Amino acid sequence: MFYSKNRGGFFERLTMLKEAKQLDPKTEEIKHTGEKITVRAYEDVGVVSGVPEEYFKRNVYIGQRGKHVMQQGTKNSTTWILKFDNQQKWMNPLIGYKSTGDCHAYYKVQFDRREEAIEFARRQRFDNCYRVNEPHKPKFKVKAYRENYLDKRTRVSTK
Amino acid sequence: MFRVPLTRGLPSVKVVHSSLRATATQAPQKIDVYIDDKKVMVEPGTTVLQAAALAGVEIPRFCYHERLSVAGNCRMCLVEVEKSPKPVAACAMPVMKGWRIKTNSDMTRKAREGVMEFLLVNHPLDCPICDQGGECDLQDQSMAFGSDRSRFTDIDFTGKRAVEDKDIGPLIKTIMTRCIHCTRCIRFASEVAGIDDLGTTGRGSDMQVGTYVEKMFLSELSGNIIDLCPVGALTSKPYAFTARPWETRKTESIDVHDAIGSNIVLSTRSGEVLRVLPRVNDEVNEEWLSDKARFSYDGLKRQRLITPMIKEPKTGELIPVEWEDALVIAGMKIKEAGRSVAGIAGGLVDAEALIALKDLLNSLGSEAVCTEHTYPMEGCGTDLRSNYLLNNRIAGVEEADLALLVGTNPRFEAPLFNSRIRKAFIHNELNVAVIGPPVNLTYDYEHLGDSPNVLHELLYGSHPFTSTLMAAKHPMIVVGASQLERTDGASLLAQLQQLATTLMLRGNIDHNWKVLNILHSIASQVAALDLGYKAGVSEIRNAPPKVLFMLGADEGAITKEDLPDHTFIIYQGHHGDAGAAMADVILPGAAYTEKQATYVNTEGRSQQTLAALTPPGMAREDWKIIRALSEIIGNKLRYDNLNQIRVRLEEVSPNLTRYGYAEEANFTAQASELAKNVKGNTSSDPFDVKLKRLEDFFMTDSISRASSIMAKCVQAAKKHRENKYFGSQNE
Repeated sequence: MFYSKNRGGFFERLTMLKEAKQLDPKTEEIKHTGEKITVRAYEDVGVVSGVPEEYFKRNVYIGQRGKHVMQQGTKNSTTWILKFDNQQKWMNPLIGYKSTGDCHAYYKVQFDRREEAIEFARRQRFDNCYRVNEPHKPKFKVKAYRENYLDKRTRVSTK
Repeated sequence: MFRVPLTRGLPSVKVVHSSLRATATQAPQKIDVYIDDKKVMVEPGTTVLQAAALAGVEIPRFCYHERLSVAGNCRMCLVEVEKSPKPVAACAMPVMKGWRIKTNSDMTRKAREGVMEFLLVNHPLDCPICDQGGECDLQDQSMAFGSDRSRFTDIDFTGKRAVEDKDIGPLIKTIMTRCIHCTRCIRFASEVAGIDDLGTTGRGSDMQVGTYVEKMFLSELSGNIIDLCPVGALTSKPYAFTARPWETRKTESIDVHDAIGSNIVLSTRSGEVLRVLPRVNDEVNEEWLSDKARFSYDGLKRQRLITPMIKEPKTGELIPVEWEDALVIAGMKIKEAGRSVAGIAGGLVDAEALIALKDLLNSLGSEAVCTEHTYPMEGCGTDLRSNYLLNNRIAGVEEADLALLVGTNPRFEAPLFNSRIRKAFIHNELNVAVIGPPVNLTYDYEHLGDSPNVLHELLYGSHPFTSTLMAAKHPMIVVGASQLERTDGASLLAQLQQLATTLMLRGNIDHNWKVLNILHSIASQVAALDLGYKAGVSEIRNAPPKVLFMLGADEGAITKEDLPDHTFIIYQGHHGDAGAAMADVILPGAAYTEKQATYVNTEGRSQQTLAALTPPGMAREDWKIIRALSEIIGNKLRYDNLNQIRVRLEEVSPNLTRYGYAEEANFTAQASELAKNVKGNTSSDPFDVKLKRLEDFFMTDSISRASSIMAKCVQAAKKHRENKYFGSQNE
């Protein structure tokens, strides 16, 4: 009743990969020395990027920041952000500094569109990526100054 | 000018009212307006500011807030409308057909600069020491829309306008000189929080926002006025001088202090949560956050369990040990116990840890996996989800026309649900009736008494309220889950189901509309019931096990006295609270800020927290501890990482991993049919709620009990109540 479409799931990432594939129409099969080889439909930068294999297994989040409640401005609130999950950090017992061996801890990539972020994740072989923060758009409601004066419960004495 | 609810209305107003209704029922014909020559089609009555927003143009504003009423007093939103001799206030002016609005013309810019200059004349230049710095609307808008110079020269050296600071409680720091009189806090207090304590006195440059007589602004939602304040007049007391917004890392997470599952942002720096802010989610918490969720973060640093511990048998002292020792001893005891192992899950436990514990104990042959809070298991029990969910959803309140609250005080059990009811009360003319103690809910309601007999009377039509209830198109019955913990809980629930079915069968209800709603106040309960936990500890009490595994169980459902001496107690959790005090082995777990975990709120919406920090000391994520323990016992659980355990969650209950969505629950008719088998009668003991007053609200779980800010709130609320002048007002 309240939601009909856009139902998410844990294996949402699979649908995302499908979506990403649709972006690239070059899926084809080629013949090579008599053998049939299926060429991957998309570029895979991950293999040649030099990123260690274990990073490809990590969870990647793609989401929007949303509006900052302290302010009225909406800048950056609709930017799509891609970042990695948090890994264990350790604390220096003497000083209390936090350290981490994870060089992706502060890795944050920004995109204008959701599809771009997905495409990037796919090209980099961050296969475990899935969305975490789909924006919730408030319902539009006409605001009216007259509500302060109507003979209804919205009436207020401070005008 | 304090707000007094006005009931009388002028006849002329009524005429306007009825004519408005007539237009509202017609299909809304959109009209065209032009924002900077860009055409947008809007509904009639839309304000200039809203039309501009639809066109993607942001008009600067201070007093306008989309979740509050329109005040129109800051004048920052002045824009030029073609052929109009003067600029108009965009936030209050409805658009007319064909209007051409210029948001960047000379006239508009000049108007903004003028307003800005006046505001800055009366605003201190203390940005470097102001906590709002970096996230201040005044700062930003003076940069973007203000002039580069001012005509304010204090030739008489009289100094700038200065206003005395107010003391409005332990949470909100006021620096009233910075106030620009946008009145957002006043409107929030009277419209959302329902406490008419704030207002203005004086006029012109003598105008002041305050409480008139010194008084605390005590509301369960008071922290939101910090967010609303566009300048640094209202800032957070616990966060004062702590950090600048650009220094902190933000992590999107979920609050676990109640069963609403408010969306939050955790600001962290160097291993500490510095503040908690709400995150906009219209389906859950809109833009608000309760004070417990916002300010109890200092409890995450106190009373923490940071190392595994074992009780010295002779002295009874808990001794810190290595993980290996603790796990080996716990594993050994569990192995010795055979099938005589039981588990209790507390209120802050995530779904991952819940499934790990259940899988472990089930694999050992034990079925005694319980939650701390009871829920009736008779009838269809917890087999049908509609039986234990807030089926109409939180946002559904806005569609209801009648809410019947049974034995609940939503104001303190679920403050953001209560604010929804209040919103519907004000804007949608929702009528509210209450069966239960007559508490202050911040809106008017019809009190039907506090006896369960009222339900019976409603069911058989002998109560005068029956006709109103039967006439409602979208009635909502909201039951506090705590009432179903009574011994007659099952028959109460059966009665409520019958009442709900009677209402549904009457025919004038849309078949998608659910009537019965259960309001939980415990974050873990719905996930636990989804996973097949047994509600309540009676089974453990009746047949005490040899080993009891307490997973964050701190509410004292089972005490040392309920168990024989030989029962070995393993406690896993993050705070040294009631559970840890009786434990033989302590396994330190992670709090909600330190793990990526799944929580399901009272409407059945699964949401996940993200780890903002790492658990302190030797503490670890909860499901990992249970997984490690299972390996030591020799019954290795078959998941090694988060993705695998989530696959397992999905196996058991697929809704648990559909993050952000509330899976609809059905079979209400079947549930009601099965409820007819429930035996036993409802007792006539009156309904009672635990959280009656504001001071009861702040400390309800192991995190908030460890928080000193919450302790200060309790003190302040008590002090306020004892005040002979206005103490009883907020009760």
